[in-house]
Order: sequence, then C-alpha cells, then structure tokens
Amino acid sequence: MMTTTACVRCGEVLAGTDFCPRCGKDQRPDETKATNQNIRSVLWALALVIGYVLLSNAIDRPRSIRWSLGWDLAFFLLVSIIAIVNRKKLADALSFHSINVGHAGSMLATQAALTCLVLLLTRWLEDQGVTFQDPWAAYRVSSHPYIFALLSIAVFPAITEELAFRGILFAQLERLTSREASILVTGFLFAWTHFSFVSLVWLVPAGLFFGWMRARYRTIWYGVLCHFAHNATIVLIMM
Amino acid sequence: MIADPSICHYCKRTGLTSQDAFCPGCGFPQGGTEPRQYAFIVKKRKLRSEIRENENMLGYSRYMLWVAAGVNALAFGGSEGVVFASGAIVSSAFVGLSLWVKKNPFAALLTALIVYVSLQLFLALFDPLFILRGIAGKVLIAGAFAYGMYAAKTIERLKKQL
Repeated sequence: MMTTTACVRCGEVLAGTDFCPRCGKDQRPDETKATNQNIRSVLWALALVIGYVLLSNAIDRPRSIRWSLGWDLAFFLLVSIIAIVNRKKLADALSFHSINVGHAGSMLATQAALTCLVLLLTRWLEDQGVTFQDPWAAYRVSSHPYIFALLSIAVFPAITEELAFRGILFAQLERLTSREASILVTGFLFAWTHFSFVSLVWLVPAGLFFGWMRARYRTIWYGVLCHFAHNATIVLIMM
Repeated sequence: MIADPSICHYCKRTGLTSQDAFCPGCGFPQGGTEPRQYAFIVKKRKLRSEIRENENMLGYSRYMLWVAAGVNALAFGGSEGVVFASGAIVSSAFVGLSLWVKKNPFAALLTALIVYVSLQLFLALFDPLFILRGIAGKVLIAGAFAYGMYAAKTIERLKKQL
C-alpha cells in the first residue's frame, strides 16, 4: 500500500514523491544540520580520547598506583557521563539482550589464546632488539599487585575504551558513514591512540575484530569481554 | 520547448498529468514559464559545477596524504630499528588512507586528520619545539584533510539535490 503525506509547504496530498507537483517544494529532509552536529560530536569524542592518552603519556603515571587508579577512574567517569547523556543513541550498544553465555565463553577462550600468540610475537620482537615499556614495575612493589594491575590494565581500559570507541564513537560514525567504514575507523583509531606503533601490527586486527562484534551483535559487551580477556591474560602472564 | 507534457523535460520521468505544475521526481517546473524552466536547468548546472570543485578539493586532500607519507618517510628514513619500523608503519598508513579516499573519502580523511594531528602532538611531548618546526606545512596538511572531509560531505549533499 502506498503511503501518502502532505506537502510541507502547500499541504497538497503526495504519494511518496520527492517534490510537490503543485508547488515544487523538495520534500526530502535537510540533514545538513544533523550531519554537522554529528561531525562535531565525533571530533569532540576523539579529542577527548586523544587528550586523555597524551596527558597519560605526559604525566608518567606508573610512579604511583593510587594516582594511576584515580586517573583511570576519572576517565571512566567522564566517558560514562557522556554515555549517559547519549543513552538513547547507545541503547542498543549497552543492552545485554543479545548476549549469549556460550558465545561469550568461546570468545573469552579464543581471545586468551590469541593473546598468547601476541605475547610470543612480542617475545620474538624483544629477541630482535625491540624494547617495550615495562608497565609492571609500580604494581610489583604494591600491596596487592594482581588486583591493582587487573583493575588498572584489564578492567578500566576494557570498559572505558570499548564504551568510548565501540559505544559513543561507533554510534556517531554510523550516522555519518557506512557500518563497514565505522568498523575500520574505530578499529584503526583505537589501535592508533595506544601510540605504540609496532603494536599496531596486532592492535589494528584486534580493534577491527571488536568493531565487527559491535556491528554483528549490536552490543559493546562482547568487545568488553574480549578486551578484558586480552589485557588480563597479559597481566597474568607478564606479572 | 516541451514536446510531450507527460514526460519530464529534465529527468525524463513519465506519467506526469496536466495538473502537475512540477515534476514529482526532480522538481522541474514542467508547467512553468520558459525562463523559470531555464533557471531550473542553470541551477542544476551550478550544482554540478560545485560538485566538480569539491571533487578537485578531495583530489588535493588525497595528494596531501601522499605528502604526509613522504614527509614522514623522510623524517624517519635515516633512523634504525623500531623508530624506522614505526616511521614505515605510519607512512604506510597514510598511503593506505590515500587509497581509501577514493572509496570512502569522509571516513578516510577523518582518520587521516586524527592520525596526523595526534602524531604531531605526541611527538611534541618529547620535544615541545617540534610543533613549531614547519608549522606552515603542518597547518596546510591538517587543513587539507579537514577541508577534504567537508568537501566529501558537501558532495554527498549536492548529489542528493541533483
């Protein structure tokens, strides 16, 4: 059945046409304002993430566990507030409805296995003379090294980064470009903002995989789980 | 000027009735005066011309991606080991993005802008004066990416109006 609408200018009854045959008014919605608003939101979200990462690099945070956790918590709260403000746009992404326990379990196991391969690769790169940062020093001498390291390296980053990249940024980008492009952009920028250029070799595929899961299952929680599994596996093996 | 009033003179849509003053498909003033019809056609030509201008701007942004890749390769070309590998990865990223511009200009140039600006800021953490070295070129490159993003969205908007 053909739907009819009224012309926005003269009220003529229209049978789904782009232009009014009586007054010639274009009936298609003008999306320019919404597009510009979305571009601004994307740029603000990225500026926030990059600002955080650059500040983290600038303040040399591993010196104090308390400072490090406080910094993680502050960013977590900031991203959470932005997500709450945009909760209507993120309703799908934050929903647990599409979570399947079997899927989640197999993803966790697969991710942990892939992370072991990444660790083997880094070991090989170290043998070739490549040096990586040692983020463990401050945790090793703390009262509860595993708890603090897991919180700071596995729990907070998994939730905050997935919420920022696959949640807020992905939702805004999907309104501006295709789903495939949103996966590619969030995946690459997620890897890039770690500012460890050699790590791009495994961070880019990981980012693309998390983005694919976000697009496939319409939720960020599988990405959060895999991200947590990746970081937690590194903590448990490297500590 | 119009031989068959049931066929739109501009978009060739068929089935127009004598009551249709405008084509429901493209908005052409089928029942209007000749100057009005001519003005419509001129307006569409202007749109095409604007699209071409924006496409030229996109081509310029694409060229700037190659420049960014080349400048980066020159900067890191003399180094060794990890620094050299990092430079090669970053240059490859710019080359990859320049190829992607043809398929998805907005997404590719958004990525390029973020990568380029954040790289400059990151390197400035180690040497704050780095940001000032070749500042005109840096502004030119970042500006070309930003304007390319704008051009990509403008082309999308104008094509819908055609």
